[in-house]
Amino acid sequence: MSRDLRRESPQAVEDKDEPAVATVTPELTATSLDALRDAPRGRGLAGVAQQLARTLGSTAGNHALQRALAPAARTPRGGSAGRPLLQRKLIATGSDIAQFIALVEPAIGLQLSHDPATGEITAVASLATPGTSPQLESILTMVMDHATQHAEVNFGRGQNRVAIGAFPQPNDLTGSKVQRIDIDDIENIEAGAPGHGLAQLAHEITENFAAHAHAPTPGTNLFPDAHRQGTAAESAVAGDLVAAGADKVAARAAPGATADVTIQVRDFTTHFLVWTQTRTVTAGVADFAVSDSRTAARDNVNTHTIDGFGSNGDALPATGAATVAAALADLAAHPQATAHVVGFADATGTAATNGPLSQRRARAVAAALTAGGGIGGGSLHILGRGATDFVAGNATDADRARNRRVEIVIDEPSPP
Amino acid sequence: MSDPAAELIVEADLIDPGIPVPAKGESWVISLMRYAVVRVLEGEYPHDDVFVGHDDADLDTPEFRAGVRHRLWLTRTFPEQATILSATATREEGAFYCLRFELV
Repeated sequence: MSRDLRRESPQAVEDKDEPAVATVTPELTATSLDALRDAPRGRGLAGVAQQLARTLGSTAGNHALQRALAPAARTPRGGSAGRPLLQRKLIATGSDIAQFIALVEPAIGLQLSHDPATGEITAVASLATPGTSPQLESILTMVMDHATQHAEVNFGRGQNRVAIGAFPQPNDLTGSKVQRIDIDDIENIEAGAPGHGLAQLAHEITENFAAHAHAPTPGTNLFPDAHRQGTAAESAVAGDLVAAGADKVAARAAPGATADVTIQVRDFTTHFLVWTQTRTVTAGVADFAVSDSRTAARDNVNTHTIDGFGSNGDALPATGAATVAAALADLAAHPQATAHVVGFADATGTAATNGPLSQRRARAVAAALTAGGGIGGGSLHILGRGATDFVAGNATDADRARNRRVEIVIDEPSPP
Repeated sequence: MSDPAAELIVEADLIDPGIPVPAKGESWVISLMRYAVVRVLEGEYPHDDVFVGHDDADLDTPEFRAGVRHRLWLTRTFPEQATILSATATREEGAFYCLRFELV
């Protein structure tokens, strides 16, 4: 089972609604990161940068464009090249900054430098070999060249309660503003699933950068929106480095052999990323170590269908409860599985109404799946595909009712 | 004591803190803990035990040791992007998300 349920439909409406946050600045928006993620493959960095420039209307896009047009050679950068000096806003501390730089330089095609006095990481030259991830280059360039907005990261190993990366606490950024990143976890992901470690670096840095767009306000939870933007960045880089079209849409954590072991699963639509996470506590430090990372193909566990939604309606039909229960039983029996909850409409109505209507149907089913607390919304991918993929004709009421449906597609990673 | 978002307020003793999870970042996992209900302060809940998810709970702190008593403000609605992790199968009574809590 490897069907891409998100990208086939011109009417597709993806569920990305998130809780609102108190203060919004336009510098790094969902739109800009969606532009990164959705940039057609093969357009090259120039296209991405032009899109960024249009989207952001700011120095970030322009500088990405500058870099896209620069020759791929070791050329001095910054003041010595005659450009105006830019504020550099990727601020790094910790024991493993050199490891971070060594990891990302080949992917972004830029030579980086860290100033231990200020903590700032800057790009000082273009490498002779172009980078392998234009998306990662655009993201890091946007952060490094941003006029006002920081990302603050600490690169270390075995940091307390860190698995890959940890958002600042409290999550209103009134205390620390620093994202803690465990380079050993990144390296271990990269070792078994090349490209995914770099994609997770993009997630962590973007997540922190997005939170820095907001003035710290006590009690304001900056994490959900920042997390969503981090996920979009991760998808964009995975699309470059792992599989075209990769889009991280769901996650699951399954209990392992002991209470300190979990199996972590990430659904990238094109494939799964899987790793083992093990907690050890030494001298009061709880390390969550990563091992056995791998990519995996999709195995279909089951597909459940709820049809007979009312015309122009999104209320769960009477038969829906039993189907939801069956889907939950599958998800319980397959603790590494995720579910794509996909709504459809009949041919009645317009594309403008059928897309959102099919999404509302999918959301209604997702709400039923999560109501009992057995599965989290983060393990579901909710999608409306409008009047597409009919399973019956549209000439009779009975056939149209079959098309007004939601499919619950449950997939799990193929075994190693 | 009232919280408009809380569907249920209880005092309960922590029986099983569940599976330890890392701080939020790339990973956003909410682990379910099992409590014995001592008394229901607001709402209706006829069961002896309740499964509760705390966001970003550090199980290495004293406030999450088995045996502590918490006053819990609970809702059925979990954060949309979060993954729920449970050591046991979901039961009929389901699970709650903790909006806030205090030691009793």
